[in-house]
Amino acid sequence: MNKHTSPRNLKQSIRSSLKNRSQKPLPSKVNTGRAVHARDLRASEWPDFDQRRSDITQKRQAAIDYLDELHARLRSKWLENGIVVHDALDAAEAREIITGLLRDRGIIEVLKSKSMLSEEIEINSHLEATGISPLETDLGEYIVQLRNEAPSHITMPAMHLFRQDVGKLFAERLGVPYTETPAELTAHARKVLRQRFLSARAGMIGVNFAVAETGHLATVTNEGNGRMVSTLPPLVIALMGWERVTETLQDLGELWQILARSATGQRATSYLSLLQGPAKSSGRPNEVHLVVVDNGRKAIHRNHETREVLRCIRCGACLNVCPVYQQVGGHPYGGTYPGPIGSVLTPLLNNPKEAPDHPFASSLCGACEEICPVSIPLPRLLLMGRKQGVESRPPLSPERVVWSTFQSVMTGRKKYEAATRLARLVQKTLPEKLLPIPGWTDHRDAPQLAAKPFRDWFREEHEEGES
Amino acid sequence: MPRVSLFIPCFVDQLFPETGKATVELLRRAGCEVSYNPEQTCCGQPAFNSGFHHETRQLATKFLRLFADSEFVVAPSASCVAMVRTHFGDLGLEPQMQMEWENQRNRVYELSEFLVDVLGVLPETGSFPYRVAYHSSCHGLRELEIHAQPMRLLHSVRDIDICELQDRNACCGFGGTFASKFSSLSAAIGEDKLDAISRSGADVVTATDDSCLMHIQGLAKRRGLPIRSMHYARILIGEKLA
Amino acid sequence: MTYSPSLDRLKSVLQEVDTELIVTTRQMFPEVFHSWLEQNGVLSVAVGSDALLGELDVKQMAQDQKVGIADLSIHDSELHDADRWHQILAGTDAGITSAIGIAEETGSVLLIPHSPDERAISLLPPIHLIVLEQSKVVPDIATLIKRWQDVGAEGSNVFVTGPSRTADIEKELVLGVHGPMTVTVILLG
Repeated sequence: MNKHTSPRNLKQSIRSSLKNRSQKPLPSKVNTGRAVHARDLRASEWPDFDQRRSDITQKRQAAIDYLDELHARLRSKWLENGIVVHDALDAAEAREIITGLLRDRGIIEVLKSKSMLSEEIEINSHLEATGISPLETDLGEYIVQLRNEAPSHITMPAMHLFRQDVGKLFAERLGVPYTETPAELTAHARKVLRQRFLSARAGMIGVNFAVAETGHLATVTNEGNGRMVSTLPPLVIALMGWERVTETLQDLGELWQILARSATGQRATSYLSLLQGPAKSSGRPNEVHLVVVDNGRKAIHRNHETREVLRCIRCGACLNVCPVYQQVGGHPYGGTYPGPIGSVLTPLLNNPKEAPDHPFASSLCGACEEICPVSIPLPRLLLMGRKQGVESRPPLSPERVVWSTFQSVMTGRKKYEAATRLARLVQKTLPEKLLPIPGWTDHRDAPQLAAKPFRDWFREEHEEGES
Repeated sequence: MPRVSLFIPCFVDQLFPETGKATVELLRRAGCEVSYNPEQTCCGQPAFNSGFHHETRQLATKFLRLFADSEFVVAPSASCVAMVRTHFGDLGLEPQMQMEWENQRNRVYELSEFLVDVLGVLPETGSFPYRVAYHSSCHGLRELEIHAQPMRLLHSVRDIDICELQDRNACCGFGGTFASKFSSLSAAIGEDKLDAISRSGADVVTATDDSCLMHIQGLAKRRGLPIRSMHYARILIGEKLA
Repeated sequence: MTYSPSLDRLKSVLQEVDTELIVTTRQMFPEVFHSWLEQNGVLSVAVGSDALLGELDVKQMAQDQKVGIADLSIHDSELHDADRWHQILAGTDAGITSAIGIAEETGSVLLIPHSPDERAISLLPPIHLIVLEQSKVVPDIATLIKRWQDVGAEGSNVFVTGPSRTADIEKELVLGVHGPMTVTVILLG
């Protein structure tokens, strides 16, 4: 049901997004600006923020490095606590497992709390095709579901919308009188969803972290919908990325706090839910089924050059500061995850050939790395993605010829000086074009090659007298 | 007397020789002996930026050999210095070159950090009676932590009026080959930077990198705005605005 | 070992997460509680089986004010009907619980889940009241977690920081989404 643009169409999607802008100011600039402001305020409250971030980064990397051991501990805790664990190799397998669980129990509706992983495995359209309704309960997800759209941000699904858009949507789809006040719109959603929570037979949650120490499944939320769908229904399905493991409850506390500060500028979110398992005697939930999803994560893990991207805690801060994301929002990226983290993950989770342009859709400004709470070197990973892209192409691609020539010219002083002399002559006839950079003059005037380059000036000046 | 080997990046050499000239002048005023080896060409950043590591390795090797005996290598370009100090190590150079890089990277500096942090000198400046906004080029800011140094130098310029630039740390959108591969996007980001510069009331925008500046200038010219861009070295020596 | 909380700081932190803090004594509690019931228009409550609430006899106090009790024991029979219990809770004005502790740095409260059915007491009624002793105030989340680890860290639980909220529309804060809309903390000195 959710429409994902293909990652292959990144360039075209970006171009259309730029062409079809109707609103200035852009929601993608305004809303992310507010998020960054809130984040900066909270980050500054920790006088030792950099140290704390560094400690959290180390702990997170250690957890990633020891995932197999932590999983072994988790499995035994989960067994003890009555959680039924299913391992899904890929998205298709995850979909089958989830659909099977619901179908076997005759359940025709499942209430979902926010889960980007559930987007990644594209569960919603699959369930609908088998006659089961997935109902999003997170306000932002509920909104984009009504619009038949994919979420445009990792933590703020309706980032691309202004209040008027939501007002129109609710008036049309819920039949309520038009309002654009967020409080009133939220009240409508609360009303619509309340009875659904109470009568739900199944809930689906995204697990932010599983804690090896106790086996708890931790979910970070603000709205209370996560609690609703993991407290009230008889069946709870928890969805978890293979790498989302932390060792201790104390580590979880640190991760929770830095996640809250980075994602929404809060000291703590309204809720940190810890689900240990089904009720031991009577009460809800009767069953907790956990689906642990690989879908490319193990391959990322095996490669030491890419492994550190698994530290990501899905806070979305990198999106908020990214100049590219701010211009075009999340939808043009295609895939599941937009922004800098998406540009690294999409080629890795899918086939890199499905997303050849993602590593290049960045000015490498480094704002993402600067804000990342777990210090992921995103620009470096993007550069590596570029290198891998080049290495997977045929050896004599047109671009390779360009760079071979470039290298050859630059390696020899004589060649360089000859080439630049030639360029000077050519520019006399084509002053508008900045030849080596195609596309430059579509939007910008070209600089002129100086009549006398620096090297000539220095040589002359040196010959004239002393240096 | 500190002996400085100049590194003048290819595009500065060919497009902005005034930046090079101003750099020489400033270093001399700071009491340095300045040399320039004309065998130099490029640090390889454009090829690296595009994912062509093999080609970049050749140029990195050439650079490292060229400057092997230099006491200090100074360049008026933060992005090129970041390339040398940070990214040469990611290229998979052969062990001997890798060692040479470990050795040399501590001697390669961007101009402002060399003057302020290494020499501890504020060279005598000319007069620059104009309103100037400083844009923090990303590589300098985030990879080399250069920000205070150019500001200190600019503040020491006679008659200058430094304007507050909103979102000073926001990327200008140049991004090297990004400007070509994602040309409209690069321009859109630059337009926002240009709007901020306009709002600041500045006559001139400056930075540590002529690459950013050429992108901003190109956009300004296309839009017909009278904003000029100039590397801060030229401001420091009091170059006359045409 | 005992922490001297800054009640001023706690009050201001709780204010920032839209939570009212009432500091009182055990002696004054009945009066404060009755007053709170009235001010919030509470006509029915669900009370958790936390030891402190039993000691204070909160249920009795509520009944004295003619406030209805949504009692789990009525439903805790052989015919345990969770759906019915949830409907009852959803129609109850306020849920009252105590807590393992409250963190001064963030205003977060860690609840004491006595049974799966009690998890919904702090979730379904639109008002959540937390009553706890001043000795339960700790400086930060790390200490709060430690307190829980000291008693085994068992069971499904939740850290609550203020009422439910969202900023999904233009990043404008709205209080009261699916979880409670009002949260009050009564601290007994």
